[in-house]
Amino acid sequence: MKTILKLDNVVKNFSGLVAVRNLSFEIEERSIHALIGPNGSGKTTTVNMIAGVLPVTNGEIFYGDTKISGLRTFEIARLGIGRTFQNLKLFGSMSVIENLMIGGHQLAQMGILRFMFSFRKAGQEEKLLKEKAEQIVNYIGLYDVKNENVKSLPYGKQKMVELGRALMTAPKLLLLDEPAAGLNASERKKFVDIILKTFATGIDILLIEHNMDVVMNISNQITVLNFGAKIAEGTPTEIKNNREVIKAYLGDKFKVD
Amino acid sequence: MDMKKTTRIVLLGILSVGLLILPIIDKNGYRQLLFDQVFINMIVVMGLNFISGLTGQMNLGTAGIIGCGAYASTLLCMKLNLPVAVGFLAAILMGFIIGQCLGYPSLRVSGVYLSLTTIGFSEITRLVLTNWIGFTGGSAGVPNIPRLQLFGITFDSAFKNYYLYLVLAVLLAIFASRVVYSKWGRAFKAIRDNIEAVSACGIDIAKLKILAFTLAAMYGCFAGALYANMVGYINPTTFNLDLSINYLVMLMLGGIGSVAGNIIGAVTVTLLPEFLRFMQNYYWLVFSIIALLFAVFLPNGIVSLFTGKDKKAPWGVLGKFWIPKREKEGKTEP
Repeated sequence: MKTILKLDNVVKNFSGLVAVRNLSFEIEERSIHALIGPNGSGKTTTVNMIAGVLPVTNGEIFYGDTKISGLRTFEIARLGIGRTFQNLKLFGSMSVIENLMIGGHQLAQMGILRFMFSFRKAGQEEKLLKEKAEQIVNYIGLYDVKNENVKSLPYGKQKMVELGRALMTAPKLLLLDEPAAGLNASERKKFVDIILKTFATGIDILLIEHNMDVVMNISNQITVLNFGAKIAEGTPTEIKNNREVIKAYLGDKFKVD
Repeated sequence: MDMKKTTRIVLLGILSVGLLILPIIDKNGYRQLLFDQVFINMIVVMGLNFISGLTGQMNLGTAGIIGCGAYASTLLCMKLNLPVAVGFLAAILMGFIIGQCLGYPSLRVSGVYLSLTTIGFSEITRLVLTNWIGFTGGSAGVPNIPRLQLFGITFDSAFKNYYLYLVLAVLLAIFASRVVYSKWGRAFKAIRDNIEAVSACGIDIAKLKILAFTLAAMYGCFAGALYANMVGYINPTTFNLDLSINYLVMLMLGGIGSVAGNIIGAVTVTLLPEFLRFMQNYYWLVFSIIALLFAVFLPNGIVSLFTGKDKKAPWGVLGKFWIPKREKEGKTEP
């Protein structure tokens, strides 16, 4: 199996506080890889380092054969790593469809000088972008609210918009930071369906999640962090039966069903 | 054709005919000069809209930008004896350079600090223009500025300038609104809304911020050149902080982010004080109070009365003044 993302001895230091220590793991192509761990174990920090929001203190991150640690956020995004945020980061003054169209900004290649002088071409490009956004809006099931302001939508739908925006960047690897947090059971089910559907279209996924149901059901591979270090790795079944994990994360009373 | 479209076309027709015959009806020289000033202000505000309106970077250096444009065009023509049209092009180039330079600090500093940086730029410009006497003429200014000659016409009167500036303002408004409603306008707004998410979409924020500053500076410098051509005399004290603030007031009063709003703002703020002149010494006070009331009760600008979600029947407008309406703050936390 080829690896799509590789972390090699990654360290993150926040002026003395070690958030991530010597973390190494690989995400294989065609897999849903989950990253779990108790609060403050460094999951989001890891995602932020992959996405280039935080610089790594030490170690290297590779995307395919390209070294991405040290690149800037937008460059990493252009390589094909899309992401969603733990706390929503939507464009609050805009509608659903506009939010998605910003995700597709890079798809429209025209420079501003050419735009100034060719009305027809500019219109075509905008139309193409809009069509693509409508496809995605359909895909995430928000077609009937596509012209609503994102802030007027319920939380679950806002999370969907974030996913849609990430999909608009045409990613090959999707980093989902707690996508199911704050969703009710039916919303969660919808979200899981979409994640699986997205995975089936050929997009690999790194999933950070607290909800054990979701994690155990959909991931192929799980990495467990505690206090910034990896304590276990394996398939869901292996993780369920791992003493260390049960002790650190799931509690003594966790039962294997 | 539906009613709405017909009314729109009729209104637009009346407006354009009105604009075309306005200086013919009103022969008063002072008022004609005022109309020219309105067009210049429109151009400045449409430029300022890119950076302060859409991208949300508070720019208080507008006066410096206009000053640079005015002096660049004037001095180039006078020192090198070039045609004024070349001076206009030089002003645009000057705007490009200023925009690129002023854009860089905006990558490192934001908020209040950026505003201070732009004030700094504006003040430095003013001081250089005042004290570099050998080159700029110092605080005495530059008199007898040669007027623009184009197609055999010398634009030396407010009446002639009116039509030139009208055409330019319309062209620049078309371009501005094309940018506002394009992927660039959207991305500018996205920077204002949530800067972290923008780079996660693969957009280079640095490039966009500099683009916004550059567009603003090019509009501003061009307007500066038009100003020099209109009054025929420039002097550094014109380009002070008050002027910058005045343009921000136009931007906010009219409606941030919309070109129509910019136009309304420029017209209102330029002409309203003149209508209040009968109050003699009190007219600035009254104007300030009116502006303040607008800011409190119409936070989205005058344009929000006509468009968007604040749209209401004309009689509903009155109700607005009793119940201030704000942008709905949605909850983002779970």
